[in-house]
Amino acid sequence: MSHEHRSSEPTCREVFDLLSEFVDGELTDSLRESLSRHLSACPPCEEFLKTFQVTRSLCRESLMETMPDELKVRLRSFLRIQIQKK
Amino acid sequence: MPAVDLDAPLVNQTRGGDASAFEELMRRYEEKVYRLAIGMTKNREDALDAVQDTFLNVYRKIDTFKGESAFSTWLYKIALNSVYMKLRSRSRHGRTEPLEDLEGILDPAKVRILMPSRGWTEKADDALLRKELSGILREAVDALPEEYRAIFTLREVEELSNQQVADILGLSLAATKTRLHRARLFLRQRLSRYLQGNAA
Repeated sequence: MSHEHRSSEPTCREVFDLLSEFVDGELTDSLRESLSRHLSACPPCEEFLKTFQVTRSLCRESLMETMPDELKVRLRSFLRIQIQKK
Repeated sequence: MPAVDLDAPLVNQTRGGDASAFEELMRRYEEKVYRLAIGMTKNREDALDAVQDTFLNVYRKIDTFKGESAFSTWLYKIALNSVYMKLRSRSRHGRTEPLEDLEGILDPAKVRILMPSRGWTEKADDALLRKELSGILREAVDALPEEYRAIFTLREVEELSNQQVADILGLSLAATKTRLHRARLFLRQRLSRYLQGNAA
């Protein structure tokens, strides 16, 4: 990430630090626009952003488990007994 | 906290002793609490124990819920405590990546190392590789310190806001955002290391 940028524009390092806030939509309009400009002019940063997003979506996919029906039955049975004890 | 807590009517009915309202709350949140629990414990029985403890505590303590936060925030706090207690009781909590590794990811000297090789994203799209990558990422999430894992799961899987995650964990918003960013970078690095290691 060695692209040169104007001093008023974010550096690659600053883009790296701000990527989460960028993808979460938590930057101010002007900072978001600066980052967007940097990303479209800096292929390594743009590629880094792509891989950052791919990782997030693969993680979401991998961790999206559903609770097995058998465990739901056991949960309800456990709570029924515990609540009756009250 | 949202202006209107959509769970409030059911919470009030549960307080009044309406068992069917409690059942409905459980239906709304059981999958979410289970995902958090299984993501943290990596064990079905431990996850079930944590889910059971969570809902039993919610039922027993519902009168203490003052509505100062969203009901879901209060419930997730209880769920996270149940998960932590389960992890402590099984002594699994030591099995985590040293924090230094996460901090090292933010070292500017390593930024260059983290640069992706060409074709990284194409490989991640390969249907045959996806199952393998899924396993790699689950292991990587498991390697995160507990707090980072909780933040990552609540934010990325349950899609809670950073503020709600901060409230659940009792952290500042800034600390939550920093940990989330480190966790994301760490996971990206693990995936990158694997994909580059398997480069043709």
